[in-house]
Amino acid sequence: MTKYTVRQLIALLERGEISSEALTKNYINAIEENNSELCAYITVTAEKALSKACEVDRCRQNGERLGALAGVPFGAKDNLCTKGVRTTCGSKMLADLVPPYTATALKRLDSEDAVMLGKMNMDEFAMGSATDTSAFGITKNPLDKTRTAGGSSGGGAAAVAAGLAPFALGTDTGGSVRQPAAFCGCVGLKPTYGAVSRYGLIAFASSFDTVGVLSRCVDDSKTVFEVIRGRDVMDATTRDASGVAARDTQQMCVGLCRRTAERADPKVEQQILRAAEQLRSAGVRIKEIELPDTELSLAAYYIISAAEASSNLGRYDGVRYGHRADGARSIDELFVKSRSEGFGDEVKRRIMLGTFCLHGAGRDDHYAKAQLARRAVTASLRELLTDCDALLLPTAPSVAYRFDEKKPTPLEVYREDAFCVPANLAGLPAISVPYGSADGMPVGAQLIGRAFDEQTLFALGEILEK
Amino acid sequence: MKEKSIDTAALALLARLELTDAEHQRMAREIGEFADFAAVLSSLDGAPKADACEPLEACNCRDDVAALYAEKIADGYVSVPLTVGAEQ
Repeated sequence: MTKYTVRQLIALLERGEISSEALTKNYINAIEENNSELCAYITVTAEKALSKACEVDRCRQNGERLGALAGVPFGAKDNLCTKGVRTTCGSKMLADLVPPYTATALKRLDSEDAVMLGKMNMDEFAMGSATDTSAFGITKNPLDKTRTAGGSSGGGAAAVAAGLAPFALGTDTGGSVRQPAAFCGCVGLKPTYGAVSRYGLIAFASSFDTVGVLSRCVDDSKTVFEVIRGRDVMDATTRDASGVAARDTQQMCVGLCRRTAERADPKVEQQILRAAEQLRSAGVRIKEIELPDTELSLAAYYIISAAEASSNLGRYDGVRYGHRADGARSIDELFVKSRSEGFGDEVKRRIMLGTFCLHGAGRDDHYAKAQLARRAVTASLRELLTDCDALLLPTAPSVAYRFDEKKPTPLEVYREDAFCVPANLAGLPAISVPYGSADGMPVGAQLIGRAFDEQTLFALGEILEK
Repeated sequence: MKEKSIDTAALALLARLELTDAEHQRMAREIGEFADFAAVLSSLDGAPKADACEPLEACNCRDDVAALYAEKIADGYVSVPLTVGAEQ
């Protein structure tokens, strides 16, 4: 039961073959059995989940109108605020934060009667690629517990892959939904910037942050995206663009990015070529293209995201909310001690990098240049997408690595995001679909589309799923 | 970039962080490596300008954005994005 897709669960619930209460209990039992080992959830809201499930069952019995996801359980990344439920952002800094309001994306799921099971593990403030910077433990890959689940939405990906939730909401700032989805064999959707409200999402890098979906199949991603997308008065960057209507895939052209071979494991590259062949045999035209310079993209992404992070995280000073240090003798000392005790190593590194890139000569040498690079990468991608309906490339250069492999340096970790960050720089939608395997672990095939054209990604992703 | 040229003490002061000696050394090394890695940007033509951010008309912001942000900043929960990447 815990391995069913959202659509299958909706059908079972509608036919009365299972109640939402029983289904929710199944997931809670699975979480109790597996979470201590996988570390996918930080907080499990069993009581609230069962209460909501019973309410949905009661409404169904009374013949009342129910939402599109009535009775379907899910999990939410722990950087999405939930009124009355602890929201830690994977950090000691916010270990006891109970927000006074709920994120818009979660409100929309609630209003369609989905049942939240709990809050999922993540890298601290979403800064990381292995869910190993969390203050609440390291998430393991359910397909091989000696390997990483990826990050920063590693908790959501591990939970979906292990049957601890049928779908999860994650966030993608530089690949944080797509990369863990690829590592755990799930589908990961990063919508267009502005397609889903960021209201209630704890900010990391505001010009990149996007709320996304982790699911067992492309169709589930589509179903959940339809619920959470759309204009929100609380986020001025949202738009109500319904996107391009689904078209015949046989009239589509997909750009195959060939220069990725320089960075990707040959076994991963081989699967992407197979994916291109599968699209071709379904009638899609394949055109070889050159991806914008990945080094330029990476540098621009890490400078801008660190700069925005150093600004966004300035609010954590031990006064208004978050960790407050004991024994400070002045207000300045309170700020410094609270921040130094509350933040972990990776967050401190990004704050220092961001400060370096924003002050003195750093502003012209790094930040302003990075904005120029962002504009150049965006223009290149837009040009590629005038001829092509989507671009095909690996989600990550390799499959999930083992914990006992040599610990990479921060720069080596950053370079692993090379194929994900271009979509974030340009605000474009992208989806990672499991395609084949290498070394016994799943490979993610990534499709990048035009702004607000998620429908094309769903159509092409469904071909790859076959 | 040489580690010695990274003034981590000044950066930590600006960032309101207290670092140990070992952390200062590690940060200096990592920021130095990062600066070398970011040197790829120097290949870009054109002098950086203060308006290097996306111009407002390219952002997917609505006309009422200023008023909305003023209201949200006042309640202390929402930060303003520096740039917006999505095309129209």
